[in-house]
Amino acid sequence: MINNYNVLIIDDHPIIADAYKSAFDFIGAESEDINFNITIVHNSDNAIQKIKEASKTKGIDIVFLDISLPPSSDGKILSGEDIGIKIRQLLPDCKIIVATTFNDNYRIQVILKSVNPHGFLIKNDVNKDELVTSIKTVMGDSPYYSKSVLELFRKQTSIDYRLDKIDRQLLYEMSIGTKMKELPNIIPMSMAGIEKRKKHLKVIFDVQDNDDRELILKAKEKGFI
Amino acid sequence: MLVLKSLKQKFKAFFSSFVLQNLKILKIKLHNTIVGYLFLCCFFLVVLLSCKNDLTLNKNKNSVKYDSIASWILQSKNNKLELNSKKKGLQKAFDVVNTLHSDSIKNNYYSKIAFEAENLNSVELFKRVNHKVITLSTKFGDRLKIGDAHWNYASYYSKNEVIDSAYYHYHEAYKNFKLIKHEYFTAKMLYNMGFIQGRLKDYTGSEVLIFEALTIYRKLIRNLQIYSCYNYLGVIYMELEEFDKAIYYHNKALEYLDKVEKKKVGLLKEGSLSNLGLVYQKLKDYDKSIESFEQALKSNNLKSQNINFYARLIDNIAYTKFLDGDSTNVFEELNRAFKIRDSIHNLSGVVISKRHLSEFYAFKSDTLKAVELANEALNLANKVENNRDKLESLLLLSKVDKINASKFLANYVHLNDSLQVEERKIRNKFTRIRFETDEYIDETEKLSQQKVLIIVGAFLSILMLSLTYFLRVQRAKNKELIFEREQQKSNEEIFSLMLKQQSKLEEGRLKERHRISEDLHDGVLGKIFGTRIGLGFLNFNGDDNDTKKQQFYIDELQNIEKEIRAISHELKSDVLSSKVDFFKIIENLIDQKSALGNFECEVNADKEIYWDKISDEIKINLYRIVQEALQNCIKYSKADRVDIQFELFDNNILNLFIKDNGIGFNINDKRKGIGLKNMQSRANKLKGVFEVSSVINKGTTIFVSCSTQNLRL
Repeated sequence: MINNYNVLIIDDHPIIADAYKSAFDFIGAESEDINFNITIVHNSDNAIQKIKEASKTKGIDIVFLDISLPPSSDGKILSGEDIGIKIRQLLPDCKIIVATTFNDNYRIQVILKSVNPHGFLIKNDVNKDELVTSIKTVMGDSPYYSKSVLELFRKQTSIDYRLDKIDRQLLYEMSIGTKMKELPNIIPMSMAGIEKRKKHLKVIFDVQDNDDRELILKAKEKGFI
Repeated sequence: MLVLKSLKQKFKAFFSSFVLQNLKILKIKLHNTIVGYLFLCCFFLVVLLSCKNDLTLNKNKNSVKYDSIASWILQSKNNKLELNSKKKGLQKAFDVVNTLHSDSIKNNYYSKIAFEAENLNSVELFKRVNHKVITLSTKFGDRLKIGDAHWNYASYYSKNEVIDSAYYHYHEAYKNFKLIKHEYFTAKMLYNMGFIQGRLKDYTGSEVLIFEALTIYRKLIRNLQIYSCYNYLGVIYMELEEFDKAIYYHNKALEYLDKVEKKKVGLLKEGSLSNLGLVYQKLKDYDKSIESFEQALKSNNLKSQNINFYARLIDNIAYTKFLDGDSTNVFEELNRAFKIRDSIHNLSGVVISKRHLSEFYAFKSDTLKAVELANEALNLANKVENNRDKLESLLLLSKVDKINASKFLANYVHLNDSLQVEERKIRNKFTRIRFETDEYIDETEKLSQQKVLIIVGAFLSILMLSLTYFLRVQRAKNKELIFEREQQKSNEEIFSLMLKQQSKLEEGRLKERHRISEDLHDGVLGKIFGTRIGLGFLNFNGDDNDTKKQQFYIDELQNIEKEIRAISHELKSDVLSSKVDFFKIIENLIDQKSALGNFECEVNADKEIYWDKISDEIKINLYRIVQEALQNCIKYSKADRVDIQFELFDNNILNLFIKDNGIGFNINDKRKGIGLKNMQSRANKLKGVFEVSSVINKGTTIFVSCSTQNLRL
């Protein structure tokens, strides 16, 4: 019996999409009872369209999702993250493998929470074999995380304090050099509230009161950003 | 009636000589003090001159001359000497003074000599010297001396009975004294003029002048002079036959006499009493009259002090008794007075005595004797040319000599008329003199008023001008201040613009780096990744060696990816650098200046300093200080290395060190350069500390410290 898998590859770089396709082809060539119906899309508009179509017909078994995608033409979809959320809504059984070049902890954590993918690949970690392994693992119903993600998990579990979403966002914004004045526009809090949180974060990370740099370095070291 | 008139004449003669004498005494005393003072001055001058080592011979000679002049003048004053040798001394003094060079010193001596010469009746010398005094003083405009000289003339003329000339000179003196506001001398001149007018029977005119003098004396509290005025007023009112007033003024005179020093009083009291007695005699209050006379007579040693006065008193008492109808001892007393007068050749006294005796004989009906004595009196009066006595004697004769009565009466009337005409002439002359003087004084006063006006006007205009000038300067200063403030403001604006621009620049650069980082990360990295994976799935079907090589290149590609990722991260992570904005500006500045000054410059800042949190004010001033310091380095220090260090101390004290290895300078040199002053004032603005230390040939260190707390925004 031949198992047919519907696969959707979403990546704006044709060369990468092609590489993923090669991986599926490789697996398909290895075992004769597996057959992949592969669809490739290069932008979010097409991706959403395909997902919507599939949700009404045969569905999709595996999605290979790139996070850094250009926004959709209607502006509703800003990145792969939003597509992932959409897939979760429309195709709850679909297995999502996120592949991204990001390796900053904050983004990874956010994506883990919002998309909850079966596989999480950091492109830099991945080579041919790992790519194949990840697809196989996910197909076998186990999650697959590449080593940077696993490293993050390890760091997080070793820390006994918890930071909420806003704390993390604050740290992240600070780390990319956002000005304090602009923060209230990004984080839904007042300036005073932000300052208070910052102070609290400094206590948590045990850094000097006015030393923002040290705070960010420490947070980075601890894997929060 | 006849007797009365003769008595009146007698008294007048006495009184005029009496007052004149007193006046003279006063003047001498006054002059003595002035002379003494001048002496002292001369003495000091001499001492002063002799103290100087570089004395010229000429000056030495002069001091010898001064000594000799002083001694000659002293000789002229020595009462023990004969009149002639006194005069000689004065002449010699005059001769020496003539050899002096300085006109002003000459004039001083002339003035003294003139005074003494007048005293000694050395007529010729007096006239010569006094004339010189007037010429020289006029040249110098010394009004006091001019007045003094005129006074001397006046004394001389009044002594010689040239009344109109005396009056003229008193007037000139008065004019001068008044102009220089010498009140005491002015009053004296007024009194003298009044006295002369009184003598000429211009009693009302005299009264006015005496009152004028009296007012001044009262102001100056000159009791003796006040006495003289009252006394003379008493005499004037007696002549005007206002006897009550006369008595009032004589009493007043006596009252003031009590206030005068004893040694100055002399026989003044007796004189006044005698005058009072005469007034009572006129009032026919003979008892009181005799009482007054006798009171005067009581005075000790009167006979030896003034025998004339003594004789006059005796005569007056006897005559008053005779008028009272009491003939006891009258003849003997009249005779006694006559004999005393005769024995001392007091001719005018003898005339009076003879008249009184004649009256007595007439009363006793011894007409022969009476006529004989009256004639003798007339002859004697003619001899001494005393008009008043002549008149009185003629009047007496017209009464006693019944036969020739009409002839004598005609003579009397004729003489009286001619005298009156003469007196009126002189009085007119006086009026003219006074009028002219008044005009002169008025004009001078007008001129001096004008002078005052001009001075006040000039002063006011100068005041106005200086005020305007002051206001202008003030306004200019204000403008300058405002300008300075504006400059300061624009300076700060420029700086904040600089900061803004710097941060914009930084932002732009940052954005660009972000863009590159992103492009590398998303674009290049992704493509390489795709390529790598794609390559991995390619099956070359080659041998093992080829497969291994393929794997190697693929791994290499992965390494390249890692490197690119690292670069991308580095590009982003510069965000965390504290070297932003202000520090960049400082670095730019240093780059510029070090290129200009050809020195190496390094700047360091503690990592803890967050320039964003430090107020612009601090940053601006620190920037300017660094700028100034570097400017100094370029201009003076000849340094080839400058280190700038920013330190944060205790989290809120910011320290700045600027250290060079130049030639240094002397810190104790008070002439601080404008640069150092500017730095100091900037540090002061920050309420900070500013210190400079410098070692010659080693270098200079500038230290600024301020708190970041107080000024924090």
